[in-house]
Amino acid sequence: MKKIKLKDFKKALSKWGEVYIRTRDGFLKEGRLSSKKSKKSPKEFLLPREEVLLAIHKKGADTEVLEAHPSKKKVVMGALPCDMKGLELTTKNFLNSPEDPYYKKRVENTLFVSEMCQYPSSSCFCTSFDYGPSSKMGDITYFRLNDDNVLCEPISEKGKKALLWEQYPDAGEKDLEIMEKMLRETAKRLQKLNISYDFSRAREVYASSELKDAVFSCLNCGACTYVCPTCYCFDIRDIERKDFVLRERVWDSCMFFVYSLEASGHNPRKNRSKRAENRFMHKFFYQPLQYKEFGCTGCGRCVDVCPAGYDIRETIRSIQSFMEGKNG
Amino acid sequence: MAEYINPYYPQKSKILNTYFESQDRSLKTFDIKPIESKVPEFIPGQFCEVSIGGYGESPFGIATSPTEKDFLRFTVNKAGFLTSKLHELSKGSYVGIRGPLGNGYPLDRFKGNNIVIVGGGFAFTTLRSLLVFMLHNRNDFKDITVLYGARTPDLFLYKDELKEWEKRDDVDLVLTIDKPYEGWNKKVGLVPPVLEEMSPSPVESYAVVCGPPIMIKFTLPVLFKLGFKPDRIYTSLEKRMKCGIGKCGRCNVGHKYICKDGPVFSFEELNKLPEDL
Amino acid sequence: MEKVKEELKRLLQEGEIKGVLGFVPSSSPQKNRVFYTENPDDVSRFTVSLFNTPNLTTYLFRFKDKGKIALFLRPCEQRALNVLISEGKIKREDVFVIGVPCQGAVDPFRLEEQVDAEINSVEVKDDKILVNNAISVYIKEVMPYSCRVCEDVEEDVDIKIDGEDKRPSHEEYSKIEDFDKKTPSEKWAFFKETFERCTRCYACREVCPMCYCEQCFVDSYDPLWVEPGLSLQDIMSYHLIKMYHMAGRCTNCGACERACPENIPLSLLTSMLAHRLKRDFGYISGKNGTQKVFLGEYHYEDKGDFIK
Repeated sequence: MKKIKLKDFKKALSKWGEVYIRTRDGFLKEGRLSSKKSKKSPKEFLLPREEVLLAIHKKGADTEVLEAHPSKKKVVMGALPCDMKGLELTTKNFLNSPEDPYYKKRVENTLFVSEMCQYPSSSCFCTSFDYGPSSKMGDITYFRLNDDNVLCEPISEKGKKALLWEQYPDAGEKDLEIMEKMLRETAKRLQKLNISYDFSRAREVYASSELKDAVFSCLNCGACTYVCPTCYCFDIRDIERKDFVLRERVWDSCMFFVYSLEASGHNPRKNRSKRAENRFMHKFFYQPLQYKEFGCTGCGRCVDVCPAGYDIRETIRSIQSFMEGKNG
Repeated sequence: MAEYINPYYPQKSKILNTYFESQDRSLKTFDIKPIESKVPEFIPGQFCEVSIGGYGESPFGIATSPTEKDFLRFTVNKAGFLTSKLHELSKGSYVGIRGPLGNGYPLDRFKGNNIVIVGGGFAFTTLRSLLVFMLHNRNDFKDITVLYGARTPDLFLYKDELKEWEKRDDVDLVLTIDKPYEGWNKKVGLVPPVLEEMSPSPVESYAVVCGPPIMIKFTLPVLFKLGFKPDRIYTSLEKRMKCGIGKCGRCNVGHKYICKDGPVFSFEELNKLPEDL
Repeated sequence: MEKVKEELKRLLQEGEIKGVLGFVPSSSPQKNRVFYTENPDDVSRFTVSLFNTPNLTTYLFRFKDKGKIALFLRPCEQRALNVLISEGKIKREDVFVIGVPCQGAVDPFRLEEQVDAEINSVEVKDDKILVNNAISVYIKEVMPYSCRVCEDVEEDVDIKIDGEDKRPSHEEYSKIEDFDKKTPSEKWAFFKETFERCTRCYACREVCPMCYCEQCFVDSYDPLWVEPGLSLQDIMSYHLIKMYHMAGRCTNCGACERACPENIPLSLLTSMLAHRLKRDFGYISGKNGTQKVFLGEYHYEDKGDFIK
């Protein structure tokens, strides 16, 4: 690993693209690198809140369709392992066949500089999954040694090419020891849940009263789905402008009534609890069945943002009990 | 490098012809041809996203058979925002087409078997595709039985073709309407009891059931009673789809996406998925 | 509280009520979790505090025709129930109201913003909250404005928890009157700055007992009232049209503001509705369950001079 001054590091990265750093609210151009996870995950760098896919120009009865090509180069600095894990999961969805060209372009145009995490909070439970605060992810990873210095190393080819690595000094033994120690301390402070589910029982779990009771407090607002690093559902909408139409994709949320409403008027998740149940099932059963990985990274943002005090960990535990045949 | 394909990009297509299927003008058929490319190859049971700029996209099952290569046919029930606009379009207008999408009927599995088609109302679109395909490759299949029900005689799709098929002796076609109707001298009765009366053999047979949910609900027990196993009964679920390519997340039933893993499923597959339909 | 819990337990055991809806502590001390039970043994878990965030009447719609449900309600929340009763949405006999002495309600997200640290414990001490045994915050500063201007209810409760209403610094609608004095451009600047933060998560809608439409106008494609993105125009259209639908119905309980993860002071808007209603029509929404719906009746002497 190399030892670099934080401000030199940021400056060097800015040659690759516009640098967005982790702040308390989200990843912003301005502001100080925060000592917490951000309220919002950086998923919007790959899947913006709203994104133009096509512009449809009307020329009388005829039309011409133009594609959008996102091309701005951006550096996402300070994404924590839970953020990166989330992007790994959304990437599985967008880059499996057929590849999503917009998402792919954005992946190519974004340099992810991840930070090993020293900021566990009471809502965090990342070590319940197959990674943790010391996981080295993204294109470049770094450890914040102190306010002024970072220890960093490239991970991907893109990361290797992004900086002139040889010009920086290697990290000393002592610095590396500090890093190891701090990361061990962090891991110790994290809550680890036992999640050993039999995914083949998905149908049974979805129909169970245990799941229904566990999600009762959910109000079905979309707050958790917007801050979640793995929620990727979107809607495609045509937006009329004067001489053209923009075909956009906008974030959608499975919490909303209209999300699952069918053209016939039928809605399989008319019932509020069914929508919350489906979200849990998607993260903890369906994604493992689809992608062999949980759809949750344990970042705890949904716990932080919920206005009704709902905590997904309680549902995880009660389904664990259900799996083990105990009564919640 | 692989060829760059944008799966969201609609192929500009021309409406070659339109005709109303029913006198109440709720069902309109469109024959559509891409103008910058060939009519794509597809499998019966697949669908396309049809779009009009400013009105969005909706999925429609392809009603033509892969053996009819001149255009794609879609029959549209006037129900919402896009479908109302589509109904306003006539010959010569342009629409966008994306597809074919989805899995289609398992033709390889169907080959060499008896096929029982049970259709209701305007869900006969992909069933027409399947039927025309099978009639074109008639020797690949054993007996073909078709039961098609509609509320009134007016609401059958493809009436001219139905007449042709009725005359053929290599397909057993039964049409039924829900209630007696003046001038109708064929079967009267709901699909499930008529099917029971017909009692097609389950031996070396597959059944394909498409129609309104209520029809499917009451047809399944009849098929089971006749001895059809869930893995030999197929249906098509064209619902809740948005992107059509398994990205947007909206059409999930358990860990399957209707648009990508379906829309054709056997009831054995559906029985394993969470109940979310 | 203990006496009430005993009574609830008895009512459940004897089948006089079907279930109890209330709050239990959650993993975040600044916001308790909504909890429903039909089991008498669970009754002891309920808690009543400043950190009970949503208005429980919202959850009543889930129990339609399911029997009599007991729930904990502050006065402003009782008013919301009254509105729902007068709108014919809920039957009084289906509800068992547990009156809660009100000390106001804390906005958990505002508290987080104020202390700027992870909240591990909260303790109420007079007019302050002690966070993590270290940081002291005035309650009134972490409450929605609505808590400072709340109106009384003609009490109609089935049981009451002992204790006095200790509402924080009750004041007249001075902030609203000050706002009225601003110029249109100042007002717009205020709206722009505060509403820009909206992510359209609709927590304010889902938590609102008055927002019971099965399909909200913002979710309609045809006609398309509001476009789906985050342009200020669309955000404002959502919030202002929502306010139109609140006129004469909203009881200013402040649940929308407390639910907003972005700390948008929504109760300023609802307080303005309450202020106009009181000033111009002498009407207090949900004062009781028998008064007519505000927009459902007309009086000759009703003020019309706001129509220009």
